[in-house]
Amino acid sequence: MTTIALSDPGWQTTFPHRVTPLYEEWFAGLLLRCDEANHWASGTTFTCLKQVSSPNRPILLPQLSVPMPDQVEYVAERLALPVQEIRSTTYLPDLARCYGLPHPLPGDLKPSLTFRICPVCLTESRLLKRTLVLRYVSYCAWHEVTLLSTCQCGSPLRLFDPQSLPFTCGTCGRGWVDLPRISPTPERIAVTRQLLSCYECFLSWGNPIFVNQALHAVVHAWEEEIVRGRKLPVQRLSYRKSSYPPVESNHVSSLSVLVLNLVKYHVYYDPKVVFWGQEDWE
Amino acid sequence: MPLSEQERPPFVLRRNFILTPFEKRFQGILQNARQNRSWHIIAAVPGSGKSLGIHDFVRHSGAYKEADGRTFLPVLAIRAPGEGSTEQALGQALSDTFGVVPKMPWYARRTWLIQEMAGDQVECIIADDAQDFSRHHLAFLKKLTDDLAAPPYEHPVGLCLVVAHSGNVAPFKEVFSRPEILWRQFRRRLDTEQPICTVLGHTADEVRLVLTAFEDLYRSQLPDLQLRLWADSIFEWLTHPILDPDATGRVTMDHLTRLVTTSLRRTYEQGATNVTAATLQAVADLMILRRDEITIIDDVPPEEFPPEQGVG
Repeated sequence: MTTIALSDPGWQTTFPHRVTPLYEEWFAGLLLRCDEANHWASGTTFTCLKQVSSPNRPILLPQLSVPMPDQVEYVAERLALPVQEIRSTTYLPDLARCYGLPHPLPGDLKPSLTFRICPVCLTESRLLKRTLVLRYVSYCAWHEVTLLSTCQCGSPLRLFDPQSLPFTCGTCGRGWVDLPRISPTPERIAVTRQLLSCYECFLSWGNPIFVNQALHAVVHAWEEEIVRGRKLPVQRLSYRKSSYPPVESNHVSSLSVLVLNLVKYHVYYDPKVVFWGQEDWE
Repeated sequence: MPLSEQERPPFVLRRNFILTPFEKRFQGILQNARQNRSWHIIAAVPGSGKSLGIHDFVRHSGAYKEADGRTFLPVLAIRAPGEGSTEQALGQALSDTFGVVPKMPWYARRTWLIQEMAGDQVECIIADDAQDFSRHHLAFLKKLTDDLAAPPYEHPVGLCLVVAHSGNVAPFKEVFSRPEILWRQFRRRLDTEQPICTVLGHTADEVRLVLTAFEDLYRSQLPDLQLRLWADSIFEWLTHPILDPDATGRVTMDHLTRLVTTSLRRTYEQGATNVTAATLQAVADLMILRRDEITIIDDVPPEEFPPEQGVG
């Protein structure tokens, strides 16, 4: 449905202003654009969403990448758009295909816990891309700028802040579009490109057999490391100690961890992404 | 040869909006207010068709919501809020016309409303059943429209307070006669030429026109329908002092619709294809003489019909 007339029943069930997802837009970015189009404070649409299924349970950042089906349906109804179109702003369809799951959960992806932005994407089209939430991805592949998680005033960027306008810093009021563009190091670019390429591989045409084979390949790589008597890399140890908040999962190996290991142990290697220097894993 | 009841499907009540002479007069003022952003108090007796007229006017105002964020709502129609005489209650009613609006503090909603009305290019506010407005409602409407007319929006808005009245009492006379500056300001904003208008019902000739429209509406069910023949009689019945207590000498659309639809249903159920004077007379008697008669209902009806809907 493109246009809603006043006589349509949809008039009373939609927000005053409707927005349509942009190409590769992230669900949370769509909610923020909805706030902006409706002249609402940052997070107003999100507050509506919270009241849909579990009003008393906090929604964490991972749940905005893999939301509940009724939350997706709620947004689709309020914007009078097909549910499929809203689902495409999440990782629900990709994870469902990848793992063969009817209802993917946030723990199946384990996206990044830090909210980050690309100031150039925002300047061009108020876009928060879906890939911003992919763990270990630290720069925007479209614009080759480092993703930012803090404002120039030093405050961490908050996705939703009821005291401020959408896409602005809640502390100093600076627009996110005004944040500096920082070029990543070539080492960082190399790693991130491999990660993105691997993510894309799974998210575009992954299936349960493919995931299983990948898991076996990672285990095999670990075994080889042990046979060779090498120490486990520090990063991996620290990763194992790191805490990820308990989020619901279908008890599958999370995609972000799988991708990290595949790239790190060079099980996955995209020859198109050429880099001859030292990889930066920090 | 009349068709038997068994051969016919049930009688279907047509609920189409008829652009009657009353509606033309009424919508003419609404259109004037929209075009010139003028303020009017519009009165008509209950059952004239004010609410249906507003509904039709809003439907054809060209409002839309596009998927790219653009929304156009030139005519904003509300009813007096049933719950609460506060300005918050009216603010909520105004917000609801835009669609789903999340809960927000009153100060935020008030600011949002002004911004939204300017952004959606609201040209005219129509308040139905405005006789139920409290002083707080009227004061809020004035403040709201003042804020819209002032910078940065500089967006004047027309206002129509549509009231049901009876007798020759001027609507809001008591409110506007108060000494407070607010009411003098409100009064001053009303249109110079037509500040308070009373829209009259239908004359005998106009009743004939409406009956023609009814003939067209029900032609498929009653092929030989001739209602116009009875226009003068119908006018006489429907201007009886019981149905026209203010002695306006005009017919309301509600009475006319009730008389016609009840008569046509009876005619249809009898298997006839045209209405008779006796049927019309019987229904008119029912409306005039047996208006307060209590019907004892003890048996189970053989078939259910949807309730008749009046206007106004």
